[in-house]
Amino acid sequence: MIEFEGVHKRYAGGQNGLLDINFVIQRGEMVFVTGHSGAGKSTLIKLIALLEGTSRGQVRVDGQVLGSLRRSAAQQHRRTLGMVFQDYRLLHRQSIFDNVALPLRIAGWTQADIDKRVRAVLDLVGLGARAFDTPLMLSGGEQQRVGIARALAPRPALIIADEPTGNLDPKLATDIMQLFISLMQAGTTVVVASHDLHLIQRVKKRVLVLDKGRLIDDFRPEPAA
Amino acid sequence: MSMEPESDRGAVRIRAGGSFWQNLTQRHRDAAGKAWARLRQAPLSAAFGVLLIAFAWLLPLMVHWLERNLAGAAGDLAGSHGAHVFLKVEQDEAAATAIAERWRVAEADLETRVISRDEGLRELAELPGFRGIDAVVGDNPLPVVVSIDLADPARLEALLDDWRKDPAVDFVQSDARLKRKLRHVQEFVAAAAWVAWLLALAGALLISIHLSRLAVNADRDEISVSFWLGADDAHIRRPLLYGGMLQGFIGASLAAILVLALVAATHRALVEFSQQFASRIELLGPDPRTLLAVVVAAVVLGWLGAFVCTSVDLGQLGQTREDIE
Repeated sequence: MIEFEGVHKRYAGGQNGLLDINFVIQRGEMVFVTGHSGAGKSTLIKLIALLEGTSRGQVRVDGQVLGSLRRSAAQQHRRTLGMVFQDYRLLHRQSIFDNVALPLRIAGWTQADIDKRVRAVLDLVGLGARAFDTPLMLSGGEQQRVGIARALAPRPALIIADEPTGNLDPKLATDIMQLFISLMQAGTTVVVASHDLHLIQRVKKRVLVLDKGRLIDDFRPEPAA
Repeated sequence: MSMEPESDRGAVRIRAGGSFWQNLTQRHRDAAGKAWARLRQAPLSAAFGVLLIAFAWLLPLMVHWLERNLAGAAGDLAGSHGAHVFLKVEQDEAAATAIAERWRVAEADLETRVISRDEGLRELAELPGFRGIDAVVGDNPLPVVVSIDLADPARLEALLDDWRKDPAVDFVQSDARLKRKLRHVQEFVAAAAWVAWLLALAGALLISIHLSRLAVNADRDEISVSFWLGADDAHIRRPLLYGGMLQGFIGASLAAILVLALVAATHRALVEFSQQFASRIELLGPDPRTLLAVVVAAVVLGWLGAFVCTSVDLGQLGQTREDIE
């Protein structure tokens, strides 16, 4: 599903983002990317979402070499991803419904299909009754669930989340992780960048550890006895 | 929490299916709705933008109206290329006929007509503001007038200069000179109108670019998120194009309404003024085709301004690699 092959990322100022990264993530897998601040977690996420390009090496998603995609194909690639952000990136002047409908409108869904799909995903994340509130009327956890609903709306095969629980208390963080696990169990590939080691240990999924741009560990914690 | 069935990477393409026209109309309907919603979200800013566009079109529309009325006045004199020579009051009709005959013999193509005192009084009584004057004056105070017509204006001017020195002549009124002066004023106003149109075109375009830029800045978050979610340039650009067209349409329509209101007020004041002299002055209104052309041009410029802005600003925004942390 996702392959990193000899990937280097060097920023314009000469700063190294990633150095010789190699790994493969299978379809339906849930993977954490962790490391200290500046380790390269967000850079790795941005490379998958094509918000950045590699300096060297190849990133392949479903066999497509992302670096070779034209602008329109890159836009199409982003439409097939579900992206979840630490600060939710919701549009505060629009309703919850319109926030979740945004990727569907971008993808050109009909209004009838949008209505059905948005209601379905809002019910899924437990916010069906808040569809016409605005994001600022919701708590942080609820806003993040809206962000997840927006990511789920176009039925992506791959969800990438950058510190999705960074602003949430442990209870809400666990709920959000449970939601990601449910998605993974339903066949969605989930890549989560997080520095919350306690959370990662609790979830017990594959972990990629970055340090100063290098992949220093790739392991799967032992399942609980 | 239950989870839905396995997702499909191709689902986005499949669900986006539907007829071409259905997709197209929905996209444009959404974009127009979003443009309208943006105006309603910031009504003061929108009103200010619309007023700016209206004022940009107001100047050329007013100059156009002035030019149209000057052209109308010049048209009233179109058939005249002669002069009127007013003789001294002691010259009677027989003397005037002799003078006219002398002038006609001296100049081959010259046409003359003697206007008697009584005829002059009747013509005066038909003029606006002088109705009924023939009934109230006792002795006719008017002089005998010789009406002159000559196709060659240069030759006519030379003759008029000679006749001014004639002891029988009181004064000379050159209709051709008046017409020429009026034509010069009309040409000047026409040139001013061109400048005003050009300024309005440039102004409306710049205002549209600026308003679109403000809209891009106001919606920077939404545009960034939309790019991350895979929006193409057309998706981002479309509501801004509709916004530019909408503001252009409202602004130009407002300018047309303001001009019509100003013309109506001016016309009413002039009619009231002229009625005091038992006369009536008629003003021409702006040409409806010009008003329509202004509205169409404003819509096109609104679109063009938004297109220019989005071509520059969205290109940069789309390339922005903002840290998503």
